[in-house]
Amino acid sequence: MRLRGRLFRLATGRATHASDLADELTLHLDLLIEELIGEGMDPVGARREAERRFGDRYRIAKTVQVIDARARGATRRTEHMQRLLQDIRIAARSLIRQPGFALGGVLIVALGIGASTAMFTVLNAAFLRPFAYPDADRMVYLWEMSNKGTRMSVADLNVTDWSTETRLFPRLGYFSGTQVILSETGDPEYLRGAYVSRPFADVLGLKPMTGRWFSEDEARKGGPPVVTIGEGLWRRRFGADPSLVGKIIHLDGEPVTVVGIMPRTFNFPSDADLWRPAEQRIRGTSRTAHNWRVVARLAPGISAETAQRDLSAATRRLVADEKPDDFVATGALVIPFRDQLLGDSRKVLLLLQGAVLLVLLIAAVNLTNLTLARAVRRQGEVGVCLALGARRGDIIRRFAAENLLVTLTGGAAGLLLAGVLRGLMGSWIARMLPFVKDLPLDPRVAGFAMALAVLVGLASSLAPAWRASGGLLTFTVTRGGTSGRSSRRLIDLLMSAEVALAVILVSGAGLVGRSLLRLSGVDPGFAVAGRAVMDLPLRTGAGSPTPTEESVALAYDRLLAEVRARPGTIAAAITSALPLWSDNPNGSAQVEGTPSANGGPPTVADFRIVSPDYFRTLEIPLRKGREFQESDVVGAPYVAVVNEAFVRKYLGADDPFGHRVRFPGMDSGNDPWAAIVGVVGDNRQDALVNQPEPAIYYTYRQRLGWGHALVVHSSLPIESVLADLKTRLAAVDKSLPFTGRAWSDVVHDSLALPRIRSVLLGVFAAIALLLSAAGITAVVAFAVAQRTREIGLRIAIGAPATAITMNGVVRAARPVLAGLVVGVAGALALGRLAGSLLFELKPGDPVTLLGAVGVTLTVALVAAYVPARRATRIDPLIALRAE
Amino acid sequence: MPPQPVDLLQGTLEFLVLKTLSWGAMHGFAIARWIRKATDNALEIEEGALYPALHRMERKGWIESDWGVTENNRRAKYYQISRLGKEQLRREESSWTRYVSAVSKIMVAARGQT
Repeated sequence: MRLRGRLFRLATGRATHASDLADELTLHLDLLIEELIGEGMDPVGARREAERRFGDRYRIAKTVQVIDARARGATRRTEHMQRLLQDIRIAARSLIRQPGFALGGVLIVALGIGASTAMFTVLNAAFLRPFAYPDADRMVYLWEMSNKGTRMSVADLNVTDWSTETRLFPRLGYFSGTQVILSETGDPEYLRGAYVSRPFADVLGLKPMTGRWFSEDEARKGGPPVVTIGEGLWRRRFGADPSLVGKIIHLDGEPVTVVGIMPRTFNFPSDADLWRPAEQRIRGTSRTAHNWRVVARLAPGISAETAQRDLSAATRRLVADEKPDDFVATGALVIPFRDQLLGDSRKVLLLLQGAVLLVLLIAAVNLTNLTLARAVRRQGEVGVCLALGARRGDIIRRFAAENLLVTLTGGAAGLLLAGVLRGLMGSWIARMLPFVKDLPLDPRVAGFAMALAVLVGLASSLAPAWRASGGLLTFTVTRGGTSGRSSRRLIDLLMSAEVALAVILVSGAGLVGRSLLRLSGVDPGFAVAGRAVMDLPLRTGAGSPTPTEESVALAYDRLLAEVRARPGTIAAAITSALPLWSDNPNGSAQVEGTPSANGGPPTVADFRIVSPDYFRTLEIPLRKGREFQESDVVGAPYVAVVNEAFVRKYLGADDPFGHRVRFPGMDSGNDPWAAIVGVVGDNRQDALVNQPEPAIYYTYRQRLGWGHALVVHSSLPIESVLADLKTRLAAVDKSLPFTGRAWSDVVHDSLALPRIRSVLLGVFAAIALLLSAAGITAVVAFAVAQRTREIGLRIAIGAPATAITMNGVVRAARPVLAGLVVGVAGALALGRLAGSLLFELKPGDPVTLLGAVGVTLTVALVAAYVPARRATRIDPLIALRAE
Repeated sequence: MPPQPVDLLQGTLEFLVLKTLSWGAMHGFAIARWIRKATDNALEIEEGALYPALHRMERKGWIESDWGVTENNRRAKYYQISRLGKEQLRREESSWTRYVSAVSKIMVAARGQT
């Protein structure tokens, strides 16, 4: 009764409420007047007295109205909550009655959302999380542009001139990465560091946590040796010693004063542990020695575009007097900080996120199909509800509540799954995006997962609910007849969509996977197996066991002789340019008697220093002439070896031995003409992906003083070779860190990025196949269940088992084939997006496409066959008696 | 329940209404009469002030209301105490007793010292 009164009031609204209140107060006044009259007062006096005793009626009514208005708001809220709770209760009960749908749905959604959310943690960390630097969106990276449109690091003179463009960049800092050896307080270790100019810290906008940044006096040519170190290094190597500031540590054997400790957030360039003043090092004489990277803050009101236009113009004025060259800037490039750090990864990340959203789409389609099948089965129930006066909205709400319950549970499970997957992706991310330190499951990620869950829940329930509730009552009567025809069409359509999406993903994974195979199969041009490699950075200078360049060369000789004498050693060599290991400097060489020697177009080539046995140790074939010999020393005729790419590109049909080459500006030594004495085969140098470049080789006995690596070819197990090398290195200079590794591991690691990309896409494709297969199985099983009677009858009159099975499989065949066709079209259209990830493979590669179609078709057939086969086991007696 | 000085009067009125309704459902006028009779006219209040209190208490869920008719066939809103209201009444009764006994102790002590 109370509830009805409330509903009545709710339905009839405010006016009634006001008159109710008037009734209530009037009654009181009337009764009071009656009472007073009863006590002997005259009516007029009684009314006056009653009104006095009652108080201001208008004020009281107002007060009560305010109280009731608040009460109504609260009531509406609780009633909404109650209705919601009731919906959830009914949905939960209905799901528990058929746990198959609920479990399957949760699993499907968990897979889809788990994979999507795991990828999103990466996007979140890379694109959305703020940097530790204040106002990071005003930070930009500056580059020089070459005449070929490629970006170059900035030359000494240019960067000092750019620093005066304060109208564009009030703060501009330049830096250059370096490696130093720290041999105090533990094993010797290579540390990453950077030479940074004084405004650098201001550009990042961060201050030291202890001590101070470089002073003006320190940031100049000839300033005292000082360093600031990162919090990480300070804790790791110096036990967070608070008195470290002001003390002297030794870097590369030189004493340097620590002036400040920088907070962990400073961490730039990535993984740098210490910083030294760049001003002490910059030569400031060249506009073509590209030594510096530049970060800056844009002036207020200046956009990156404006800054780029104005800086380009300024740069062209600066280089106006330079001789045109590949290495002279023709403009400047201004890139937002985050874009610079993301680099090419942006595309890869978006592509992977796109792929994984396709997986989620399959999951959503799958759930929709399950819901459709379930809706057909529930037509009786829905019909009864409609007959009892339920509105279409009620039915839709009920379907939505059920599916939301499933997808929200699946979403929560997916979030957990993402947490696990995140751990697996950590090392890959660290490699691709060094600035991303962790992949947090923050509110944004959780919100993403839950938003997907709600989206999938609503999308998967609306169409089935609309369809189910639009039916007439007669459906309940003519059940199993024409009722499912339009639903069946929709089910088939969705099945086709699943198959199409699966084909797209499988072909994408196939393309990337086959690229990886090709990449691993590339002939690098040198032999890797059985080789151990290590850095051999013998130093010159006071306090070093090898104080001069001549003594360094002698030390190399001695070490090589020792290593060659070890049992098992087949060959050993020293080089400045070990493929996939060392830096690979290049520059403008000159060929005597060609325009390149007289200011013509330069002969750009790699610059490599090797020991005489280098080509033999790496099995780089000698094509013509001779290798370096022990007799090629300082004082003997100056010689060079070039590779085939050099001959092809710069010498053509000429006899290479008639030419002499020169590499000016590569080091401080004088640079006489060197006669070409040999031609060797090409090899991949920077990365397996890159084609071999022209290169000039010199012998380390004639060109001294370059940082080097040692490579040993031995018949012994690599581990024992490495152990031996370690003791040998310590014998030469015990302050040098040991970096030895099996070369095959190095080559393997160089493919880590493409490998993980392939693995990720492969996993996504596998999930897609699995989901599609599950969808097909469910649809065929449903079709079989719907036609139990018919199949039973056919079995009863003697239909063979194969015919029954075929019938079931054929049921799936048409939508699957349609899906394959659409999928191939989609793969052709979308494959272009993956173009940059492919190696020697076209996006529309027919073999890959055929393979993807084959795989998907096989999986689809098996998925259809299993439930179809089960149909043959229907007992005709039971089937015919049913209904 | 700690006493709230500002709401003392309002709290007292609510207490009285709950106590009154514990005898059975009544409309507003009857409640006012009952309070007046029970207190021997000692608490003279504006009778209209009863209604904000009644509606506020209804919102708190202490009392419930329903429309019915009086003996003279007039439409009237009847209030009755709810389960929540009974609990509230019990709480207030005990705190009221404590309050009264504390105050009377002070009075007795004061008299003893003069």
